[in-house]
Amino acid sequence: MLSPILAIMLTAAPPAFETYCFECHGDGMSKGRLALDEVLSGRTHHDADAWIALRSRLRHRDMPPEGEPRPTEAEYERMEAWIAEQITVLANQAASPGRVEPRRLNNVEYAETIESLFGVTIDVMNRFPADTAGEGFDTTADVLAMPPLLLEKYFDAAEEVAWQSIHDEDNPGWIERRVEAKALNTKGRVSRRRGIQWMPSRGAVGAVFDLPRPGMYRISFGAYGQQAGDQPVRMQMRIDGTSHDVVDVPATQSEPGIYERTLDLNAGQVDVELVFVNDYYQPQHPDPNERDRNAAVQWLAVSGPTDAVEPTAFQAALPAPVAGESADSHLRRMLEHVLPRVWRRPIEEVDVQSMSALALEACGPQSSSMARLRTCITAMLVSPSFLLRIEQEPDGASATHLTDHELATRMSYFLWSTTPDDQLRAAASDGSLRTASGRRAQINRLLDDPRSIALARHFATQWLQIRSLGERTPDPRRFPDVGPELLRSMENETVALFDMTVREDRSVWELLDSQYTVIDEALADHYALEWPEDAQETHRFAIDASRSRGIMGHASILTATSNPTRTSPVKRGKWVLEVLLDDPVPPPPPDVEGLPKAEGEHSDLGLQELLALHTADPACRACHGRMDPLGLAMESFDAVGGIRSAEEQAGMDLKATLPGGRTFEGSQGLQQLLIDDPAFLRSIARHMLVYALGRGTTFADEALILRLVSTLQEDPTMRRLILEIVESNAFQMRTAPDGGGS
Amino acid sequence: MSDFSVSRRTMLRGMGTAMALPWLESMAGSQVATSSALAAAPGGPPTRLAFLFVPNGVHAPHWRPSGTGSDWVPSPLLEPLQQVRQHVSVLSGLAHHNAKALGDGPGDHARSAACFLTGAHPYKTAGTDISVGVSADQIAARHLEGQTRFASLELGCEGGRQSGDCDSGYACAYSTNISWHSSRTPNAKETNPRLLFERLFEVGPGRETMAARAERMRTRKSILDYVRSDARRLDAQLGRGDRQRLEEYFESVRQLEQRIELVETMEQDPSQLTSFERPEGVPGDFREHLDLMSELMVLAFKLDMTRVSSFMWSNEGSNRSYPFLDVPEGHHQLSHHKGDVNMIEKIRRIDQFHVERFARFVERLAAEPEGDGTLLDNSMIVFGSAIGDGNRHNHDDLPILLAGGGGGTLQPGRHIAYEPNTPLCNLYTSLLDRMDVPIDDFGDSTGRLANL
Repeated sequence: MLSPILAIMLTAAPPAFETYCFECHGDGMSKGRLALDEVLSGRTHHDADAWIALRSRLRHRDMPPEGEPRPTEAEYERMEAWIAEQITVLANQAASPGRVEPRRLNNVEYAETIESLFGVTIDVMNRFPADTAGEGFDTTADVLAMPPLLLEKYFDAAEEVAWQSIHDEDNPGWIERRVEAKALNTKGRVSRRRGIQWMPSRGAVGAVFDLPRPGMYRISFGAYGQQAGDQPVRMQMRIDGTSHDVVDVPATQSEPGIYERTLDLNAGQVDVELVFVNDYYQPQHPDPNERDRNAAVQWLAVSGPTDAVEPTAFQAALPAPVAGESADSHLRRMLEHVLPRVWRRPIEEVDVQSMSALALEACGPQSSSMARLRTCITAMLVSPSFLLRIEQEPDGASATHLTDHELATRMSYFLWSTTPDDQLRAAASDGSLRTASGRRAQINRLLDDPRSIALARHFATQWLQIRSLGERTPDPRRFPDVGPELLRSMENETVALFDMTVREDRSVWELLDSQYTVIDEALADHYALEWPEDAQETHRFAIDASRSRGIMGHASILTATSNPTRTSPVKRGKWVLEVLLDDPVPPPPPDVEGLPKAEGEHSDLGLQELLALHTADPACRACHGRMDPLGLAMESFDAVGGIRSAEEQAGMDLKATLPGGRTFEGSQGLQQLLIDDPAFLRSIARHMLVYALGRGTTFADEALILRLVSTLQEDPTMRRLILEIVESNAFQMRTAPDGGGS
Repeated sequence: MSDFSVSRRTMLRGMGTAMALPWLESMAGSQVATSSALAAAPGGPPTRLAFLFVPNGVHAPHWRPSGTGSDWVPSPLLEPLQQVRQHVSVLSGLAHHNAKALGDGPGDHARSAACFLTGAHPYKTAGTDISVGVSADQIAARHLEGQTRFASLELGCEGGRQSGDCDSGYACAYSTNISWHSSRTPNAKETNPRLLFERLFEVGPGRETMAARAERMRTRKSILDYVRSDARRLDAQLGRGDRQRLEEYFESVRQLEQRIELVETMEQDPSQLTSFERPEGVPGDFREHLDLMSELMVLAFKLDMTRVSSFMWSNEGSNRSYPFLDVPEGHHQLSHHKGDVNMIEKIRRIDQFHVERFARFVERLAAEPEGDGTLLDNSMIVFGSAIGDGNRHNHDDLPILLAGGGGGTLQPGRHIAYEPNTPLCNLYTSLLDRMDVPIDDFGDSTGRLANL
């Protein structure tokens, strides 16, 4: 039953629907499974899909089909306005905060969190299985599975973190650098063989080590000799060209030896060499085994400094032991410090109790508090309390607010891709996150911090679909300058622009309209811009008339939407619709009858004529009529974002017409077309919401999305958007499964 | 079974030798008695099962050989099979009904990968409630659990995809995995040969002594005990909607515990078992990457570390370029050639390359002696795609090759033409029989494939 107020709001549908639509979608007809008369009169959010589809159809003016009587522009506008009004009402009825199931930290968040908590770097990209994306983002809870292989990787990583974050007599924190034979530098007659450097006569092998500070260092190497004569093989250590100890190497191939000396070394680049000093060759010796003495080196390593154990930064922040305190007591005090940070919640006595019991069992009663803490760190890092972001279940009620620490966690991972820092934890503990002003203060603090670049690196690159740019392989013959490094520079340009709008709280429209760009020298070269002599690592260039403003002129996007050998106006058009306008088109049905023959067979045709073939067929036209003109307008850029030469461009017609008759020309024309289109605001708002929540949106979120769009129309700043998302019920509350008691 | 037969575990403990051992005749009596008439003779070496997956289908007109039985004449794409033809059967006419749209619209790439080993129709979603089915390799793995150190190994040459949905509204998990542990948990695949090596041989990134490793494993076990009891406490506080992820976690904990127990029986450094050099990382060249991963699979089979493996050569829909074949264009892009002769020629090179690499893998297995025959004689290697023709996205007439002797239960070397639309799942039930896995039906199977 509708409330009387709602009934008043539900004004009658404009008669145009009946005039133009019901012939196919009413009065018993339901082409495309749409009975519009029923949807319009029923007016319930259960028909949400139909309402949303109607909105899209009207927006594109692609119904009624060509050849049928069509509404006038004024009628179209009235229909659109009415539909929008209805959707607003229905969306408010359907609104619900929604729920996200326990979310595993994704690989990025894992690495960032470990770095924040322990100052240890884990190379997740190479060590963990890659995350997949759901709903376009790697934050989506449902696809963040926990297969057995991953738990194994978590164990390996946790052990490494525990080891590296604590320096004691077991791990004095020496740097230990080992160079295998094949990577050793050689002097003289030295030849590389499987696993060794072979020294048949006087010669040297060595490597340059970068040492953090002066001190005692242990130099060790694996070696053996082909022994002959009255001496064993002898190797002399040479440091920066100065000779040091001579080491006897009596070992033989069947059992190679490890030899070491401890030397006082300086900080910085130190050249360590091993010189084979006692070559011996008696070809006439009666015993063939006594004729030739040669040396083989397997590896060379430097570790140290061995004269001091320096605590890690993580360790330095731990409570120090009190004189006479037992290992268990010290451990417990350390756990009280570490556990709430790692588990992102206040802890209970039982947490500390069970963990200290584990440490005692695993390490034994004689173990030090630090050795025990290592075991505890491993355990807390493979616990679901760390790996999963678990939020409490609404108790009885259909939806409840998150706890303060859960909210802090959501905020921190949204804006920083890492765990809350001490200030945010304090704000959660003292209740200041319960007030809008308290939340605003924290959000501004988080966004002012350089760590908020996470939003550009992880949200923007996924939204703009350039996250896998580095895996692209533009044809090296056509584009010899484009390799992995340049692709990285391209991505950085887009990240820098997005980050600037966040950090400097600029308008979201600047993404489309920025008049300058910040790039490095390689990309400037690629863009044929002159690199100023006094420029730093990156330089800010004004955008001249030849390039498009904003991201539409970024090589990252132009490359990501191209094939390896050529541009694809279809992909670019699809990208504009999907990414900038949140209006994806379905892909073509496979093996469409009458799809234009090979594009290659039409090499005499211009690209535009070629694409005209797409729109000759009504089955293709519905989508290609929308996509192709958008992509064609960007044809002044080649497949790696370079501006085509004047000659190339001369033959191109960059004028395009959209269904509905709007015309524009070139990339700049397209950019003008997009500026002020509320669909762009909807796109950034909805995508950011998906990223922040870790779930896809449904009609239950439509009211929030509409509100975000109208807020942005008043105040289109990036921070306003972020703040409104954090202030939403979807962000701050959790619905019970199946909507609670019902 | 003879009273004198010893279980592998007993023997390994008693003799102080390594868990990772090539299959040995002396243990023959300890093999589980077989119930199926089809399964390998009791007492023989174990049967291994592997699935190799290639994306984007093939150029079908160049695939199907002429003639059937052992006199088949290779098609252009199957030409590289010539040297190993006695070891390989070409199976034509097989289909995956559940990879079809069935009302779900576009998304054939995602569906085909998701269906390839599960035989199930994936639930269409961009990332909410993903669900397909348990894959055939995992059914075998679960049955064999505890007999080898790894119930199964999942390999790949491409990681997950990082942006966008992967295919027309399907979550990327569907296109980047073929092995599904449960209907909602894909098995992550190892793509880095160095990490795979370290995992196989239980060696850490540094140099660790056997004693240190044993100590580390003991601590792990205590931690797993702790974590399980701690997580139970957590579980008691969780809402009913939140249990699934935690159950998945418990299942992983259980598997890891089992692995550690098996590892504890190792008293010899497994890294000494092979002269295989530890790989450095992911090679830039696809050929090297593929060969290295394949070699590690051969090693894992040979040392009986696992009997079940799957290997996704590329993710479904992959747009990988093949510069070493003079193909700078992307694979997926080329597969939609729309009749373009140049593009078809390049697709031919890619397809042929895949078949040639498959032939090489078969040769490697054939070069490893085992029992009275070779490792290949005791293997069943399925190679294929769940898209027939890459340009058409059909899911019938799939390109499927089957290599190996299946412990004497297969007669390779033939082209076997099945009735059109015979379920590919009938092959899987037939192979699971030969692994001695009790199963009535699987996916859309309608029975067994005759005449394998």
